[in-house]
Amino acid sequence: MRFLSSSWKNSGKFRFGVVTLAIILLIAIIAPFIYRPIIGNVSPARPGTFRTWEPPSARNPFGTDGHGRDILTDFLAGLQSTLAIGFIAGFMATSFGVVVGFVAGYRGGRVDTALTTFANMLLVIPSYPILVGLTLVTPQKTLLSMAFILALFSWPFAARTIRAQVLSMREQPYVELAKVSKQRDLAIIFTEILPNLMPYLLMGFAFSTVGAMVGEVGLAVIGLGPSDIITLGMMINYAQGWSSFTRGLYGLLLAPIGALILIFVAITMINRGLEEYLNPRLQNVTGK
Amino acid sequence: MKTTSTPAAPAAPAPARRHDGAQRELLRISDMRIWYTTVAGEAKVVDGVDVVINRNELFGLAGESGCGKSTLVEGVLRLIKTPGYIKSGQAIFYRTSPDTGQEIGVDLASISMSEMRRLRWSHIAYVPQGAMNSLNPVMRIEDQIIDAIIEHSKVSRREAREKMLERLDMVGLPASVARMYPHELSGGMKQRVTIAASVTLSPELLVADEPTTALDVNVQRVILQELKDIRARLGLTIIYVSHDMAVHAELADRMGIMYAGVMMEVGATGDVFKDPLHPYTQGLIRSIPDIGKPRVRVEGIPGLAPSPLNWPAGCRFHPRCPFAKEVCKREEPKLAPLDLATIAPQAQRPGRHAAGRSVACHLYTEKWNE
Amino acid sequence: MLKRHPLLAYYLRKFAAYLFTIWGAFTITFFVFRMLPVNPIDSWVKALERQYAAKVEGGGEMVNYYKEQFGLNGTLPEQYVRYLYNVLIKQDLGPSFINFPTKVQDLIAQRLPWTVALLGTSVVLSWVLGLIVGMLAGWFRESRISGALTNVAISLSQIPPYLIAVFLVLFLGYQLRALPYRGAWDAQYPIGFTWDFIRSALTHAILPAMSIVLVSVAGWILSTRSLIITILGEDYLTYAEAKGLKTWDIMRRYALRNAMLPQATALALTLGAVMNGTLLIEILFVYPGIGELLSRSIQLFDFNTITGVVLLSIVSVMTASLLVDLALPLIDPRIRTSIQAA
Repeated sequence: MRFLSSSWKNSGKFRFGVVTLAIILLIAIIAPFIYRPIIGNVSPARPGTFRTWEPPSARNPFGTDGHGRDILTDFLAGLQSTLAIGFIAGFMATSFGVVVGFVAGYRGGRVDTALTTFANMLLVIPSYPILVGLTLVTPQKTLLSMAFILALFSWPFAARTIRAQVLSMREQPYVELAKVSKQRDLAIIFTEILPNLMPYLLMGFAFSTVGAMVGEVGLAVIGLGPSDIITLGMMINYAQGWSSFTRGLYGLLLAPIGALILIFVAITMINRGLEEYLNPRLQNVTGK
Repeated sequence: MKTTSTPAAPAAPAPARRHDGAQRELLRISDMRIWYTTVAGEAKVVDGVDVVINRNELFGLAGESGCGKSTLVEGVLRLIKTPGYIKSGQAIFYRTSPDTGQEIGVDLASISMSEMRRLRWSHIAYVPQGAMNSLNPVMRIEDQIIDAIIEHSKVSRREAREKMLERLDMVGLPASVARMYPHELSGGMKQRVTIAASVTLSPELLVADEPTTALDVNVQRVILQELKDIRARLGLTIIYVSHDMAVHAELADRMGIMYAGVMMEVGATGDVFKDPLHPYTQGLIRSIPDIGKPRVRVEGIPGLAPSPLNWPAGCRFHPRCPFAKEVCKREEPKLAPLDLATIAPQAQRPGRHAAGRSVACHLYTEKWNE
Repeated sequence: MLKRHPLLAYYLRKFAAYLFTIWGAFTITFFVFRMLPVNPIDSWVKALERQYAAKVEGGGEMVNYYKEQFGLNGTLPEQYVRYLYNVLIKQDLGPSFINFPTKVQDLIAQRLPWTVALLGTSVVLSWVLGLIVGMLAGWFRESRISGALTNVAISLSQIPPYLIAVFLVLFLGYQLRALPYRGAWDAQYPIGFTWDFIRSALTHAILPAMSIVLVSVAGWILSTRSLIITILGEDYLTYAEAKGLKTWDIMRRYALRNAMLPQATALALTLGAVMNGTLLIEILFVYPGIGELLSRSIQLFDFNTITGVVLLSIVSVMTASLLVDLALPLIDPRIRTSIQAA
């Protein structure tokens, strides 16, 4: 965990990313406290709570959308959902990818070749059409099922990164030393290799999460989002279809786009900060 | 690309001609300080060096790793990059103007980068430490040599190529090397390529920074021999930087020993080896095994090299010096010409001649008796 | 024999992996789609039933006939083998559903030029711009502009192109009516080498191209900058300086040339994958390319078209990767030497 504090100290990018992400997460967590007073006790996705296409007012700071929902609530609930999908999918993809990548890198040989070829096949398939196809036939598009589908195509990336790292670490002197000292394989894995993999794990998780969120928005924008909840992608879809601009309801489009951009940028900055820790030459040069 | 940022230098015109005994000066370095800005403070890697290099001599710059000798020559050649910079000092280079034959002095430390660029290669050439990595991996050897020739002289590409082949031959490389890529050559061949490249324009000054350190001794011997030949043929002035005293014994006419960022002793090689003045030099000479003579215990110099972030007060060598006195801890001795009259008793030696020798040690000044 | 010619062995290995991976990816896709609990005929029938509020009777024979036409009869393995036979031997991707009876390969041939033109140009343009700006950003890494530019590039590179596309469509297209945002050309001009057609094709391409270029160029700037920074730390850069070469010459022949190899490799791979990321862009801009074809065929479960387009995409990505693998030993002598030594 030393790399976290080191990155925090040395990288402005890292700090920016962490702070921004923390703020966004905070908003997502306290979201119910903000929208409950507005919509009362109903589900945020329920249509008809208000009149449709109301301009911004004291009661609806961003106005209402074509289904009679408060736009601010749309945004907050959408933020929660999109972040949830992203993190869950990212977690699933990274866990699976790490296991596969680790086994491939550590065992090597035929196991490695087989796993890598399989991962390559998945990487080559254009994921988007498959995602669209799968979503079309999934009857109940819940948050979890969407996350699962999104994770299906993200895991090869994490697997690749981890495998490359494990390969290079396997040759390191301290691993050889542990092997010579007759420690069991599992022990070597936990004590020597895993701690050094942590930064890469985190980076892989960040990439997978962003990838999953991009995928979710990509699907929702053409109308293939989850059924009973709002996501940021769906807001963009609504904004396009209902010419919200002519009605002056810019929030429906700009809020989700702005939030998504901020989330992606924040996570990327975190990744870059970690990268700078791992490759010091990329850091800004001190001195005159 | 920004390299050294220059200090606000005094714009005093350099004198056109200087004499130093029977020899003519080529490069006069005065009070050169090259510092590095780090998170831990200023690292004063070169901290007040004075030295004079004369024409047609081979000057050996010696000292252990970390003493600043590489940084000194890199700084004078303006190859230091941030966070390193020239803090102060001058390096007057007396170049011969091709038209008038007059000697003009330019301060390398303060001229603009474009003027420095014009001096490079045609007047001052450089043979780097790791030739393994100094050659561009995606260019053929000939292209890398020819581009420098064309840049600095008005010859055609064909003439440049002939010149290059002639120089390759001078270092004992076959002409087939020209069309090869660097990775196809051995370490020794690559080093010889850089030597050949450096002399293509017959520069007045050649600076070689540990050119043989990474090579095995056989190749080393061959390369040293070639350097001697080239110098004899072309009449160059060479500054040879190395921590290897044996190499200096074989090559150098005059030597300068650096320690902790300053010059400790300067003199003719024979004098330095047979009669080292500075206690540090004595330690260095003693630590060279003498093959062929009866076996004696080889002694090192006790203690550890200090850090450029925190040089010792007074004389920088005093923590490791067997002769250190109070004055050594207080006052830093200046590099001064040897004066036979002021040598402390324990440092005296009969038959010593003082010509051309300088040393920075209180043992050789009146301060010893304070 | 293979032991004596390591280079040949390397090429054969790569080619074998190429074929195997294509086969594997294709097989996965084939089965994934056909195992979905839908098929175009049945869903079309259901849609018709809904539309006309009637039940189809006696449709059995017609349904079977059409299923046979589309190769949807028999068991899944039978379909698979039949499809492979058609593709490999008869070079026939089957009839499409959305445009029956036009063959899939004809449909693709109609639309491929638009996609390739738009995306190919965008990618190459981004690469060239990104390389130049990235090199300058890396060379002058200490300047404040470089730092600010890097941060902007990081941010831009992470925005999915369709978000920018949505933005552009709504602002520049819809609100300001500055540029067209639908279709590839103005329908009133017939396709041909007339100035009207070319001009309208170009103006229609600006917004979609911009969505792609803005994001891609950021990525290239960042990767080139990192590469250049690494190269700057190399000894041969210092040596080039010591030789007194002009800064511009050093940038070109020493720094950029060393960065070119990895970046050219990356360009080849990106071009291969060009059909992948642009589905959404084409949908948003109603651009008559492969992506838009794919989206419509997915909605109608037109398996033949889907498989055909996906197959094309897979082959394209793999071929680019293979060409890079084959070309590398020829371009970089160091790689050739290491293969021969292995």
